Amino acid sequence: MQIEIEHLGKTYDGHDWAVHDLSLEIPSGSIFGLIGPNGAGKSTALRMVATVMDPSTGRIAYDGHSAGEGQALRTTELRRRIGFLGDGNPLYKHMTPAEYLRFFGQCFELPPAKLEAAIEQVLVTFDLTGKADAQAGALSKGMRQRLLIARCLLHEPSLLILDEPADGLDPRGRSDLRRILGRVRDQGVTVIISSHILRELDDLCDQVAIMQRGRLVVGGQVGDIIDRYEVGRFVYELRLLDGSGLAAAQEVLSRHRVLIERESVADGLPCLSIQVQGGEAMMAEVLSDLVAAGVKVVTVSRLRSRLEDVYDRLSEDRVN
Amino acid sequence: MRQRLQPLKAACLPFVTRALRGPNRRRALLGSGLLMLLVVLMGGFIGRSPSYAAHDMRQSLGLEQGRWEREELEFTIFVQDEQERRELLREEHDWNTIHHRATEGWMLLDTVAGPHVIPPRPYQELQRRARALRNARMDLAPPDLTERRRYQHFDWNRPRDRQRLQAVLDAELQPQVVVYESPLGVADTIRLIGLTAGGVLLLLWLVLAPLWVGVQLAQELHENTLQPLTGTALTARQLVLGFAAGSLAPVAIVAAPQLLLVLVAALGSGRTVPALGAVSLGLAMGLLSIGLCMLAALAVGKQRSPGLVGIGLSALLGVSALTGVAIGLHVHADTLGMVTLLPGAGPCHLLAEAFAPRAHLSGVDALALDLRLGLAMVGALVLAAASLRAIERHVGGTHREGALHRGEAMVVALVLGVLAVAALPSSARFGPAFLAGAALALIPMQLLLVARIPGGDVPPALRRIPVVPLLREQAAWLGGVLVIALLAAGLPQQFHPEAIVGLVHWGWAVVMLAMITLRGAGLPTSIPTKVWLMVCLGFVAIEYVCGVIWCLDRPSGESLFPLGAAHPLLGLVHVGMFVWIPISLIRGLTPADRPALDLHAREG
Repeated sequence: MQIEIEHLGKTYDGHDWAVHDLSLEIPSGSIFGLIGPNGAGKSTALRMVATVMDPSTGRIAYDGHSAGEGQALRTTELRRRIGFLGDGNPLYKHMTPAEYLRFFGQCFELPPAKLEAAIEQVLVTFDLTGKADAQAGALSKGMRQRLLIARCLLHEPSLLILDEPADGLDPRGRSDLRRILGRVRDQGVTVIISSHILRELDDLCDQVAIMQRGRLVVGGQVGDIIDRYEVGRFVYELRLLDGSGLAAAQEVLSRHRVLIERESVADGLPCLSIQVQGGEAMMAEVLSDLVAAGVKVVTVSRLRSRLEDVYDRLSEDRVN
Repeated sequence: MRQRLQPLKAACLPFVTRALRGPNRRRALLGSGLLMLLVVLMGGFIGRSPSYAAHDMRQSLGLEQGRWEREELEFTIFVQDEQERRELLREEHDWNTIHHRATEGWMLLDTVAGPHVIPPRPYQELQRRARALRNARMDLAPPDLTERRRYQHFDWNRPRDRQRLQAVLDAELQPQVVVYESPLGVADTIRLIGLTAGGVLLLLWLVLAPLWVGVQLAQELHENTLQPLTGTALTARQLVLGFAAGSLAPVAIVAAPQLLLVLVAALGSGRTVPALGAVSLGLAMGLLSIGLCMLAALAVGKQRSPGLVGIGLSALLGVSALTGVAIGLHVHADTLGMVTLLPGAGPCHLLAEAFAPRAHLSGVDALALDLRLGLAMVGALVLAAASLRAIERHVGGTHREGALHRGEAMVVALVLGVLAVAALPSSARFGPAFLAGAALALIPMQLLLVARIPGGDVPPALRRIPVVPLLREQAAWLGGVLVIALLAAGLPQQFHPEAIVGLVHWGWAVVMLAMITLRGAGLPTSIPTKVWLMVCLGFVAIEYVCGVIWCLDRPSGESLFPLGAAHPLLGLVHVGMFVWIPISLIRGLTPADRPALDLHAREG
């Protein structure tokens, strides 16, 4: 499902904007990440896209059609094509995963035979078959989160909206989540995911949008954004031939405007990650001095920025 | 029709399946069967058992006279079983039970046989027989005859006294010793089973069902499990109906056999119409109670635990049901109007009418009662539908214009007005009782006002309340109700100019009450604000009473503010509050202005 958001805005009181003038285009079958600090307006924006909240201004088109009163698409019809996991959605503790899935499947009016087949399938997909008859209250946090996402996919939506799905998950759970989302995308489902844990998103999402105070700060392909904001940050990794040159290297670096971020060992060779204040000309000068001081440099490589670096740069002190 | 029911079926399926999943269905069925058995046994026990407990119950239902009363009227001695009978007959001492009863019979004959006693002509033969038997059994004359004669009394015109005399004469002063049995037959027992089943049915439907639905909804809100459901393919109305159906499913399973028993008993006893009336009215009142409990749960469920909500609701429902039962089983002219207000009163009355007509006092205007029962039914259905609409808007978050729209609120106000007027005794005229009733009618009006406060997804702290339009609306409701009341009770007999002062006080009280409601329910309140609002409420009550006094009488004192009569300082306080309360409420309801955003500017 392709989503077009035009000048979307939401105000709760008629004075302050929770989301303001948000315009995005989300291609069908992509994973779209919405990034921002708490209170940036991510959840509000996602709730509007999920049709559970009405926007104050703007419109959202789903495959070119708007939904709601007086629109071509009925909200309930559209909801059959959307799977939405809101922030902090709890489970019914006394229901088993199978019962929980059956309950939501019936809320989406799935025919009985199709529903039972779908339950079986998502239980397998989300590795919950062994716990199908256990009470949800007895499941681990990761399993509960998987069950919640499974619930959103039960009715085979073409748009999956997940608000902070990795919140509270351990590394294994996050890894599982990434695997599942990748699989969902492969089925042609458009995924919109919000998170403040950026490492979860930078190599998962096809596109991201960074929000601050209800407004879109930057949006687009992850690679493009990183490339666009990389220029401001020059981090290089120096690999030295042996440890004897390390002291000399540190001595040379201390004479320049260079910050040693990390010392490490890779493939038995000492490595230094340095941040150079002054761009590539400064790095050339540093390298020349290192060679002159007898430091045996094997390789010098510039480290690529991550989404997190871009976000840090953009955020600065503008946390809501 | 099938197409129209399809959305309802789709809405109910998930919730009913959820409610009856796993062992829940078996438990409900087992409970249903056990309760049915218990009711049949209970009805059979009350109808047929010779035990004292069953006898007392029959007596309290007016189905049987007291045992001692029957013994006296029938000149009989009741025993529990054959063994007791044998023991009684074996008693040999002079002052045994049989002898004692025979002596009492002799004393009765002695009373009616006196030479100065002249009975009406039809009973002279009875007196002749009494004289003959008395004289024949002088051996039964007690030693303290003269003393006991002073306490004897007989009235030839009382059927009961004549029945006693006839029984003594027929038994020839030989009291019968009889093993006690219930005087009720199989048909009476079936009616009693119907009555018991009806009582259980009303308990389930009017108390347990609303309580259960309210607590379940409070739990969903408290645990935030309702929110994900709003994103499914169900509309808000389907969600509310489905949720209620799911919560009611176990109650319905338990109640179904009781309904069957009621209908079978009604058919068996030929009292189908009142029984069906009891079931229908009970159903309508139950729907209203369920709607109100769901609204209460929506109002407080997020902040308060389901347990607390349950305690509060059970207290309200319990008091309402007990009062309803008390009034419904003993309807009389002054209380018959209460069947329009108390959910349990009308159905209980009809149930008694169907299965225990002897217990039911029918000395009331039947047409007036039936009219009120009809009004209660229609009113309950209208109010239940309005409740459903309000709940639906709350759940769907579409109550930006209030949980009820302007037209709906007007209809509800008029229905409330009709019900309140119908609840007044038939003899009620414009007077203190009438005005006190009007004060009580203001309470549901305030709840209606709360339903008109704009909501939606605006946090309470940021809400703006359209005070003046809402006050205007309430004035329209009250105007409508006043017209209904005056049509029903008539215009005041006389009008005196001082009544204008009363109307000012009364108007002040009504407007301030509305503003207190808007402030308390529409915006967040701190503890000092709550205390201040309570103080304001106290002054509203004083002003209301003051208005009533000035409207009805010409107060002898010249003070417009009656607290001044107690002490001049209190009078000053009264005047100060009269001025300050409106100012403080207006300030509280209109926060400092900020320029509103032009939401349409961008779209344009």
